[in-house]
Amino acid sequence: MVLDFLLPSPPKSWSADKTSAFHAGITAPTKASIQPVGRHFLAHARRYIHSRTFSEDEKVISEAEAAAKAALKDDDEGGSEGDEPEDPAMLKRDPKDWKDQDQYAVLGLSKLRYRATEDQIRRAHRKKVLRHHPDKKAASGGLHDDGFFKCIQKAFETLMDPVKRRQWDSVDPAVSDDVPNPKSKSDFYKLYTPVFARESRFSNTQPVPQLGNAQSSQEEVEGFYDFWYKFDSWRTFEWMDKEDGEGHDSRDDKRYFEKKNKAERAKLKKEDNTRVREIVDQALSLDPRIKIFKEQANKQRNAKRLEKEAAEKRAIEEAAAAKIAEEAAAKAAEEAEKTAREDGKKNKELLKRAVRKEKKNLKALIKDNNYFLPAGETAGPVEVEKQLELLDALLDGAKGLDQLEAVRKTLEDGVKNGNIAEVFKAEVAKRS
Amino acid sequence: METVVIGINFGSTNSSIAVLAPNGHFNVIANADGERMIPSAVGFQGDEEFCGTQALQQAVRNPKNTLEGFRKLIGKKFEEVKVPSDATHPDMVSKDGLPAYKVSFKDQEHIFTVPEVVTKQLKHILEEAETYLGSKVTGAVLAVPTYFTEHQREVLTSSATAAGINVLQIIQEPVAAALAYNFGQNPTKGDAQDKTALILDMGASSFDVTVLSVRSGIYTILETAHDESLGGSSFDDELVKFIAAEFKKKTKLDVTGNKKALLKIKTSAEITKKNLSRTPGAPCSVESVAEGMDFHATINRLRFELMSNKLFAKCNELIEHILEKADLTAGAIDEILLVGGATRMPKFQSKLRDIFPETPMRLDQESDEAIAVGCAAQASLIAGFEKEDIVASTKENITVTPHTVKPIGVVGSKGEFITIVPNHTPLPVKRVFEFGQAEQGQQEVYFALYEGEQDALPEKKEKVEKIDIGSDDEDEDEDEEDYIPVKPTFHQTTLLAEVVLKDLPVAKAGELKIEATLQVDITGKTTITLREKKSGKQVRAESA
Ligand SMILES: Nc1ncnc2c1ncn2[C@@H]1O[C@H](COP(=O)(O)OP(=O)(O)OP(=O)(O)O)[C@@H](O)[C@H]1O
Ligand SMILES: [Mg+2]
Repeated sequence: MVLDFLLPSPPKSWSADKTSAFHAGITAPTKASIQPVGRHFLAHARRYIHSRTFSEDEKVISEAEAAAKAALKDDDEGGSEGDEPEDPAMLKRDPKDWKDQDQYAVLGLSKLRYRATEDQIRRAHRKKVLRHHPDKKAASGGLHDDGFFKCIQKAFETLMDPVKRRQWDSVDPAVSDDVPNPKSKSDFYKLYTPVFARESRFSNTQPVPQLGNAQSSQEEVEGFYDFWYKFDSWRTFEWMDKEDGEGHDSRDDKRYFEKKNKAERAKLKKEDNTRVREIVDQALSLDPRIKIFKEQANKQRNAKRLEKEAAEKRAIEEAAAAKIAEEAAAKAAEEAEKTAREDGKKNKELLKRAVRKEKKNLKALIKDNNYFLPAGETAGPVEVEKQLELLDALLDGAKGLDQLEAVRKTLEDGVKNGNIAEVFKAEVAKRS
Repeated sequence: METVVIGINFGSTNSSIAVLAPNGHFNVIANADGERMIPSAVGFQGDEEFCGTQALQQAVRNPKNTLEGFRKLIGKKFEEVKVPSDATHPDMVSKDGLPAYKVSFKDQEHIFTVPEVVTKQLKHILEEAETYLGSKVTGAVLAVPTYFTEHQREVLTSSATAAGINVLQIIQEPVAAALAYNFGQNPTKGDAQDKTALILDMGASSFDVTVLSVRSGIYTILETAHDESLGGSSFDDELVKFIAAEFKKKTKLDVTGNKKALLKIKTSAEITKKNLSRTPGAPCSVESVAEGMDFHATINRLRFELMSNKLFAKCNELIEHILEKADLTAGAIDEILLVGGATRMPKFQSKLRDIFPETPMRLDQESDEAIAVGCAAQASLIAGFEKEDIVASTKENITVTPHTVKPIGVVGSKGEFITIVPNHTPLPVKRVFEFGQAEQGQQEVYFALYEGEQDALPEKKEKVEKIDIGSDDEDEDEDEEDYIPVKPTFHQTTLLAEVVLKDLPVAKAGELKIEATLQVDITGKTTITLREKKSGKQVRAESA
């Protein structure tokens, strides 16, 4: 409200060192009923119920409004973040104890926890804000206790600030810190895979090699243990710092608390490093793959030695065998040559015989068939002589047994077909 | 389940329902015939039971089995009610000490107590709402007259609950109307924070007058009055008398003792009266008034106003009476809010100008829908709240609060008194305002907080009693004395506190922007903060 008026300087009598003076109280107020309607009344009721001053209430409402606006702007549908049922005890939490609250559960992210992405946190926050806004009808003034709303805002602040989120994640009591029992009978992979997965969140280097399975290569497995023995963790223990209690605002007190907290942090950090080392040690000692790799390595070493010896022996044996074989081969070759030679002789003889036989057959053929004269011509001695000459020429022309056989076949066919005279003529013409 | 809330005006003559529409406005629900008013009536005929319009339609034929005006009887004992048992009214008996109606229904005598009848009417209202909305109604705010007792409110709540209505809150009729007119609800939007309204509600059966102040958006009723002889129905009666006389002139038949004939005439008279609000003349027809004779005439508005002159005058008397009781001058009224169907009568409005020549009269809301709309507005505000929160907020520890008796203000450089917190302001209160420094180069400002008192009013000349001939001619007003009620002014009386803000930057006169915050808590403890905006120099002082 801007009022159109001006104020004067103080009167002359006003003493310079004074800034205020009260003279009388207002006339005793009278009690009367106000009407419980409208948003301004609701704001009045809210201030009364939560015993807030005007400015406290204004602050709460404007914060809530800003949050609702921001959440609405982040207008992203879908995703089930923040949908989990709410523990009634959690809803009643005092926002003053926000440091001890489960920051993830407050936003309905107790399943996702450190795995929740920034987006998921935003979405979950938006849902929670819409559900628990102390002033559902913005600016109309709600009366709901806004304690839980404050818890939501604190959780959101914590999880959206990377430094604070790391501090909280470092001490999140819902994520186990256990070192598995080495005597556990359960499956090695089942037991240790989740442990390494969860410990990975603290690694400065990402991605972090994971345990793998029975099929992992030796290289992978060795890389894994190598990484984990050099594990570089950002885990921090500031969240556990003791606040310098109220009234202890002297510098000495502060320094004292700081020192104490620092020492405590260092101690916890050291303990944690030891804990991780213990997990890795144990895993290594229990890892079935490591056993197999050892055995394999042993076996391989043995196998190499044996192989070398065998190879030497084999070399000597092979050399001896080679010599024997060489001699045998030479001998065999000689024999073969001899045989071949003998065989050659025999064949020639046979061939000659066959040729002769063939020629004889043909001569018999010509004699039996009117000397291959056309039918009706009588074979006079001249004609006979001439035909036999022709046959001789033919037989000379046909080289080798094969041709002779062919000639015979053709002529026989001629006889069969009754045209032997022509066939004979043609054959003579062709071959002689 | 989705929340669907409504505002219900359960009047003694008419009921109506309002809902928040998607466009942010409040709609009054209309039934299939486009009617927005649901008569508050229940009728029994043969085997059938009727509510609303249907009940009213058979009322003239079946008056003994038609129940009306039962809202007035809510929460009353049988002995407390006057029972007009005659040919045109149903018989009333006592059942468990409660007034009950004896009706014939399904060939038998049935007795229905008032709460049972109220439940029937409210059930009908709920059904109408759900039919219109096409969904279940999850909650409703209802309004009652200011003179309803706590017991009457409780009985109404249980009747409504029995009808299947989840009653979110019961509020007062004039307060609902103020909400509907958005009276003083936007104090930041240049609307003065502190105002006083005169709420005039003329329904059928009563004229209710309320003086309501708003301080930072919070309402306090300063004074109320009501007169059951000044409802719209009384105006109908004037017309009935006139028609009966005319009828007698024409037919020589006297119907003054004939209740049935009078009921018939009244039904027509009311229609004529309503039409006269729109046109200077309106026909009036009553079929077979008596002995088969009809009545037909055209009635002139002026004639109607003349015959009702006394009633209009009485209305103004009641208003002047309430102003006096509230210790307010007419000039202290910032706005007049009209409620109830009968305030539509032009003469009623022009007559108000005798008292309030220039006071803004709000007409931006259908007068007979204001209550339903206000109820719907409140319903939508609290729709999302837990029931126990609503109940807690209406408890006396919150609603009964100290109010300032005298205005508190600052004295400016010209010695003028500027009201910061007026009287009737509920505590605690916080006011933030801005001012400048009087002189160039002035480096200290002196903030003197005083309590004030109203200046004496200029002597009011006694009005000459004049017979009003019932015309609302402009020049007639000219003849009257030039009396315009003055806005009350105040002067400082008691110095409460002094605060000085020092070491201010040098600036031209009035150019510094100094923000003052004044807070008064419920015990009267006062806190003053002054802060120069540019330099951030500030001083804070708190009374012991
Ligand atoms: N246009 C009009 N001109 C004159 N009178 C009217 C007009 N419209 C309605 N009325 C009158 O207003 C009265 C009904 O007003 P309203 O609906 O506000 O009554 P109600 O609230 O049910 O009754 P009540 O306030 O007595 O409980 C009736 O007497 C009716 O004749
Ligand atoms: Mg009414």
